[in-house]
Amino acid sequence: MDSFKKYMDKVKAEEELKEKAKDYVRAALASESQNRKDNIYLRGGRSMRKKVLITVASIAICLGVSGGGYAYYTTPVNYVSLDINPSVELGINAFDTVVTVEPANEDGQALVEGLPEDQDLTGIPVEEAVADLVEEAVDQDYIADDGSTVIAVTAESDDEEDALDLQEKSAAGVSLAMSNKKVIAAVYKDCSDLALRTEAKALGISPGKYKLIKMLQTLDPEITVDQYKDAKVSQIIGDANQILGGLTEDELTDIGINVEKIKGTEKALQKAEDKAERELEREQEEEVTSDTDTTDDEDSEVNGNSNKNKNKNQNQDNLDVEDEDETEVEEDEDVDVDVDEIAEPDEDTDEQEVEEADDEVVQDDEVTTDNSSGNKSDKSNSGKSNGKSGK
Amino acid sequence: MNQPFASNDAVSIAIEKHADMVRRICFLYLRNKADVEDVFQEVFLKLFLNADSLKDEQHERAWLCRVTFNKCKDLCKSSWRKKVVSIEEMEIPFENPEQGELMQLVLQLPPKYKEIVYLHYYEGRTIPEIAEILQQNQNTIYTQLRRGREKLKQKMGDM
Repeated sequence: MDSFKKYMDKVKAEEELKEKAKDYVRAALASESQNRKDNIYLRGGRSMRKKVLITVASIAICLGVSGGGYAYYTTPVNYVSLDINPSVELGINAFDTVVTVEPANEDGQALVEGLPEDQDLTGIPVEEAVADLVEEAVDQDYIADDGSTVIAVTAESDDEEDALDLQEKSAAGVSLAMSNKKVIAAVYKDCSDLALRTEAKALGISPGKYKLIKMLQTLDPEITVDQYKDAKVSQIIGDANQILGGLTEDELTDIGINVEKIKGTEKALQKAEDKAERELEREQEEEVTSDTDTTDDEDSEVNGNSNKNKNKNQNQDNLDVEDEDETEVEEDEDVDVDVDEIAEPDEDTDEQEVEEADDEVVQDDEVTTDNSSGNKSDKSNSGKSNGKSGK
Repeated sequence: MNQPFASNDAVSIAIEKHADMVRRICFLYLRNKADVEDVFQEVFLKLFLNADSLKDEQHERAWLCRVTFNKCKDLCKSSWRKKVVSIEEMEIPFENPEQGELMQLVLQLPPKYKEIVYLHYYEGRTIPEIAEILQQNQNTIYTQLRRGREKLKQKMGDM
């Protein structure tokens, strides 16, 4: 290893090399001290600067990605407009979650403000938000007991499938709320594109109502938007039906598919009203029958009521038949109107009531048939006796 | 320590003091004048920038060894150097063939043995000192020194 040492001893730094290194170091130190004064954070040299840059860039990317995700989540892409008369518009994001709640009129404002403070409609699915709103509307007496109210849900989306999906979900929410609160109302569901929403916003009314008014305008061009700006949905439907009633078959076909929808809703409305009326009567009846000391007068009243019920049921049957015809027509024309749009609150009790009503009718019928059979037997008896006597 | 280095004299003194050692380490790794110049300049600049953290001359020397080894190895690893073959090879004349042979064998050793052989046989550093400079376990240094020696012996036997 001595030879190695000797050899290495001969290796010496050349003068030129040393001078160059000296010059370089002096120049570098001078500029370094300048840099140090300029920027204390970046004095660590290139690698440090790179690290700082990478850190800053990665933080920026993280913020960008999470910010973008948050923005995507909170941006409404579709809307659902709920109109009773309080009109409220829900902004729905791409995950079918409510992200904005916007009252479209003063009643809507009151409705939203009336919600309990801990009940936040944002961040929950559409069905639940709609159900909460309808329940609140029931609590604030916006939905009449007589079943004359129409609840309109309008899904607004540029994608047809999304719109239909939202429409069904919202309608399901309304039905849920009605069965929870045991109220009856007709549901009018519709879809529209976002262009209509922009128009409605410009006019300062809810898109759902705007679409209804537009439909009314196709029936009667003289109608203005202002006229119906604060009207209830049920009033618009009612008026539309009135106009329809005065039109001839040819005129109806000219107007197009809206007609079927209005008719359907009107029919649903009638059913709702009938049902509500029946229910009211049933309640009265129960009060009467629960009273053990019934007088003859009261009995007669009860009879009167049951007679009414009988008539009602007959009417109802007629209606149902009509409805069935209607559905056939609708299916043929491929119009999206649900005849059973009346949500049936508490179906079991309802059916029971109907059954009870049927029983009564049957009883009445039995009485009449008994009488008639009695008469017949009398007649036959008399005939026989006559015959016998004849013999 | 920063203060004396700040003056031009300090730079000259420090470079004169350590230039030969740095040059020798460069010689173990580099065959190209430009590369040696690069390493020289960077190593000394780093010395002045880190002068505050160096306790005494002994520490300074050990630190300089480590930095120079690392710089040389970095340069050897760089893809640019691997692809570019230098034209001007720096040769140091051998006085007698025997010396040259051993030197050639040391130069052909893998870098990790080369630096230990240099530190141990030329600088005369002890194993704990080498472990300190290279920041490795003492046992590792023992093993590598033994293996390096074995490799040298084997190659000398082959010749």
